[in-house]
Amino acid sequence: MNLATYVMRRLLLMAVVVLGVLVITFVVSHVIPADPVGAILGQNAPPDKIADLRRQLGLDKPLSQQFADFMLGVVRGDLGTSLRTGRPVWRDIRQFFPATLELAVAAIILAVVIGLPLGIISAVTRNRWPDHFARLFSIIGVSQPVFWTGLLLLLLLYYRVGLLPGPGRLDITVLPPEPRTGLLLVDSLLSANREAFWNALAHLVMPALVLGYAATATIARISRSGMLDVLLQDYIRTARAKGLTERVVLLRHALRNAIIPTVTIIGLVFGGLLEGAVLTETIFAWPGLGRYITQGYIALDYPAVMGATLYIAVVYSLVNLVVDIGYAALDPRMRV
Amino acid sequence: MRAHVRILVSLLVAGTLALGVALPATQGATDRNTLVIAQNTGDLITMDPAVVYEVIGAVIVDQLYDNLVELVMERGTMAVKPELAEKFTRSEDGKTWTFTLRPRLQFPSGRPINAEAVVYSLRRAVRMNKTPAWVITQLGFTAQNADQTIRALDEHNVQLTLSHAFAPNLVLSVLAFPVAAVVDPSVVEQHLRDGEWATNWMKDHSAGSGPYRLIRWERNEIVDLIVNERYWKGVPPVKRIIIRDVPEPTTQRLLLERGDVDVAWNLRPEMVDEMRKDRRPGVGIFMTPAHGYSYVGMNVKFKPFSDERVRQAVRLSIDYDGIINNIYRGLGIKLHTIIPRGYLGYNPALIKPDLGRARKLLAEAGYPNGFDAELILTPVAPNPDVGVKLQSDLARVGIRVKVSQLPGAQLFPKYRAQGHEMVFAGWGVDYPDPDALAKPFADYKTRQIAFRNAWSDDAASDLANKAVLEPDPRKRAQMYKQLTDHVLNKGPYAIIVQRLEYWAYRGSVKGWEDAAALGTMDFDYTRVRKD
Repeated sequence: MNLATYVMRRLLLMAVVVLGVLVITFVVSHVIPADPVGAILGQNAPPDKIADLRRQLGLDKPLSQQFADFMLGVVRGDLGTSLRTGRPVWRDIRQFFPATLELAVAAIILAVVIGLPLGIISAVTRNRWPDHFARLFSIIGVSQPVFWTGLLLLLLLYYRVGLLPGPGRLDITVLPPEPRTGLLLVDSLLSANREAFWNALAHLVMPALVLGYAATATIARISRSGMLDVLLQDYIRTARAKGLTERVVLLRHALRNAIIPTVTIIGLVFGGLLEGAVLTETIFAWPGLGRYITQGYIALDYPAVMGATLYIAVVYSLVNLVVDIGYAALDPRMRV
Repeated sequence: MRAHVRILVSLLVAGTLALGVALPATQGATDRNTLVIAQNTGDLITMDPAVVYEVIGAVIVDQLYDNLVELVMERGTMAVKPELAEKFTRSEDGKTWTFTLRPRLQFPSGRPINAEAVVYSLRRAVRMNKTPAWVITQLGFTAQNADQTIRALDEHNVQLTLSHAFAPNLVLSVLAFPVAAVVDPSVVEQHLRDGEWATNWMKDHSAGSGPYRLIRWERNEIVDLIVNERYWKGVPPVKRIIIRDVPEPTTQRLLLERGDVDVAWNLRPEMVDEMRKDRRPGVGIFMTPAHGYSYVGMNVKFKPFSDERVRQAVRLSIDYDGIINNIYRGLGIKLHTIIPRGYLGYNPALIKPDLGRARKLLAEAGYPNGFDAELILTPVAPNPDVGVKLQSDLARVGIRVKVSQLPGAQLFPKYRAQGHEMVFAGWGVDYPDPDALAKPFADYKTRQIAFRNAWSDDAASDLANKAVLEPDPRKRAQMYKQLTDHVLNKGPYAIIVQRLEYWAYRGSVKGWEDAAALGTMDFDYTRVRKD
């Protein structure tokens, strides 16, 4: 099977998965005994106002018709209007996505750059002090709540030492770059606004460190165990017996095979980061998707819930597809 | 290999630290003309006065628009005074009101603020019929009769014809609500293509004559207001207001104490308590009674609560002081009647907890060993703590309470459908007239709080409806005294606390006490200045 056919098949499968996720979410969100309209209008709103709005929003129609209307909208590129914000859901997602993407990319870069070598070092120095250090670092990273790490860093690096700026994406005294992509770093480079670039980068460091730490710990643990498995294989012993240097044995023979499960994890972690990170966003006042999606789910804002579910399902499917294609590049057996 | 490992680890640690050192750690230092506020703006939905109903939105809209009348605090008492109107008169039968506008008023666009603009704005709000419209349509305006009931007599006079001779304070309070704000018709008409009545455009733009104009709103990020240089009362001292969206109270506190914001809007009670005890230099705290309270509702359809002796026993069993002092950290006022402090008809009567009497009443009602009941509440701080405290208080007289936390989307439909046994909830007042409390809590026909608790008391309902038509404030106050006593002794509520609203601000901010005197009911940033 060539790559194009493989990708086509995967895309078709992805459509089925996304449809399944949407059906389940729609049914679950509509059968629970809740009334988002009443909750959104507030408890002071008179009952006739609630009934009016339910009618206007089509919530009095049969479920099957509501779902059909939603799917027709999706096909036309319309995810409906959020009950809470009163704006088209796609517009809300488009507004909050760049901040999430910027943070997710920064966090995953930090996580890979730190986590992968840390896992390898840990495996190679098994049961010696670098391994102990790396394992301690990882166990803290996966077990410490993000909001705790975030508040500690903020207290230390912003409040006490003043090393990094506080919450938000940009200082209020810095003129924001002309919005083109919504990614502040990219937009400030495109508009040659150096002050905005450095300021935005400084603001990105702390939330990226916090978010990246948990991801770093996961990646380090997986890459360590993968590397340990491979290092015990016969072909590694053979390579060493042939007199290859340790560097060649590790990087050329061991790492390439050990990295496959780590790539899967990196993909899943990145998919998770693209959903937004509500706690990190809340602590660092980061205007990302996580808060929007969480607020939508709490209020049971049906259009926002369905739009966010569609977005998450598509993101996860695409990331998995990219990871699977990445396998083919790493493992020649996958291309057979 | 060991050497490689050490070098790599050292590089990673050094790189991470160097990144921090190399980058600028500045933050928005604030100048005298700019007020920077850290606030959770997650609930902000629109800036359109005909649509806005959230407290945070109403506070901002108050800065962007003017009304015919405005709320003021005079010698510690709330009052309604003319704003765009110079004066107003009420007809003999009490149904027709005429408002005379001040001369030479202008919108920022330079166009005159005349009777036509007022009529356009009020008719727009009535015809759009969005969530807050009921506040004004309760006076008798409808989409069908708006042309006859809301009229311009000439360039400066507006006449409103009401369905009943409502009490003057009610009419004026309603007209001070954001839904009755005056918009610039020419600006709205320019954007009619952007949604019916320009609603989409009005969401994140302003078209009013208030002291500030909206220049930027990035959702979940920033709201930026700039002074209206043509403001008819004079240009305010603070020329720009920046509201930074900071959802986490701890982060708000850090920003305030570092001096990167001037005001923290949403601190938690324990933080304010700490800051008060610390007497942190350079930071002030202002508190004022909130326009709302928290209460326990008892569903009269649920058998034990159908007996008013059981309801009284519940009221007598609650340790109100314990809840206010320990859970609300003292940031609340003891209130047991349905009209809060600061309002016409406020009744200071209090319940003295008495467990012996409570047990006796339960025994008389046929529950000597108490009974089981479920208390529902939303999982929003401090509700779960209050739930646990109520559970332990009521257990002392044998009432075994099961506390269930439900999100608002589940709790309120259940409450509206009378599906609860007990509920702990809050109520925020929309406009500062006792009717905004008397009707929901005493008149089951409005299908609000009394109805939700299945308390169909005709005497209470009739009294609430009579009081709203009483023009004499003294007689009206007496009627509310009678009503509040009746509800206190027979109603299905145990009012727990009138909350306080509070803000922490830098020492350089002056006049906050005046700006926030009416709390979020009518916030006035023109009173704020910075040293």
